Amino acid sequence: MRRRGDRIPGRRVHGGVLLVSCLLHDAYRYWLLADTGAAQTILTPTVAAEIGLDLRAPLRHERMASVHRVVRVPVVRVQSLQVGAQRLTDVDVLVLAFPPELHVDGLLGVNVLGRFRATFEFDRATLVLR
Amino acid sequence: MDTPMIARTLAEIAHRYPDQWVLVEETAWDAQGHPRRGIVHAASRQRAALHAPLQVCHQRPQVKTFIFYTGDPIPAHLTVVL
Repeated sequence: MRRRGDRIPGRRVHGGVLLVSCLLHDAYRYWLLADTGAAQTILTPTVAAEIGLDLRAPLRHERMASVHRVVRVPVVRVQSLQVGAQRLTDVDVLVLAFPPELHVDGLLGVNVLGRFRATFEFDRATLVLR
Repeated sequence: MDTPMIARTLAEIAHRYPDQWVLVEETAWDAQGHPRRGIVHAASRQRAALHAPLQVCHQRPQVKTFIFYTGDPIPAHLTVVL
């Protein structure tokens, strides 16, 4: 599966950033912002609750540094995360709330993108995973 | 709210429910598995309003849902640097 290039249509939004739909637990799909500057994939607490992740008993906590702050956030594990035809299992994600002005449910980080040869075709709003 | 069991394209859903969060049960996909059509089970300007209907949807096995915002996910007055 991994060897074949998978062209994943996304959605470019304000600022030119690329959203990609991801299927969690084989049942719950959301738009995540593809972010090569994020080491870890992030889900909002709302999504975590919707897909049944228990934030009262996370795997661990990590200190997460963003541009302007460092915060301690829980790490939980999703059973599966599928981007296009690429399905990964047991993926650790951080859980962090976003500003309410952002109508985005998470970030797709390098812990997922880095498992592939990822190419961004921004002019076509497409993520290619090989 | 949508008429029950009317599957619409995602573009139609976005047009019908502008600037809202929508809970869509996927009903048709393209050859690559990307959703093309679905049934709207809830729509609201409040993200939290979709939680309960989402749980109801997933009481049925094999259901796939797609929650998304039909407007601009990032407002034009914001620059995102995450």
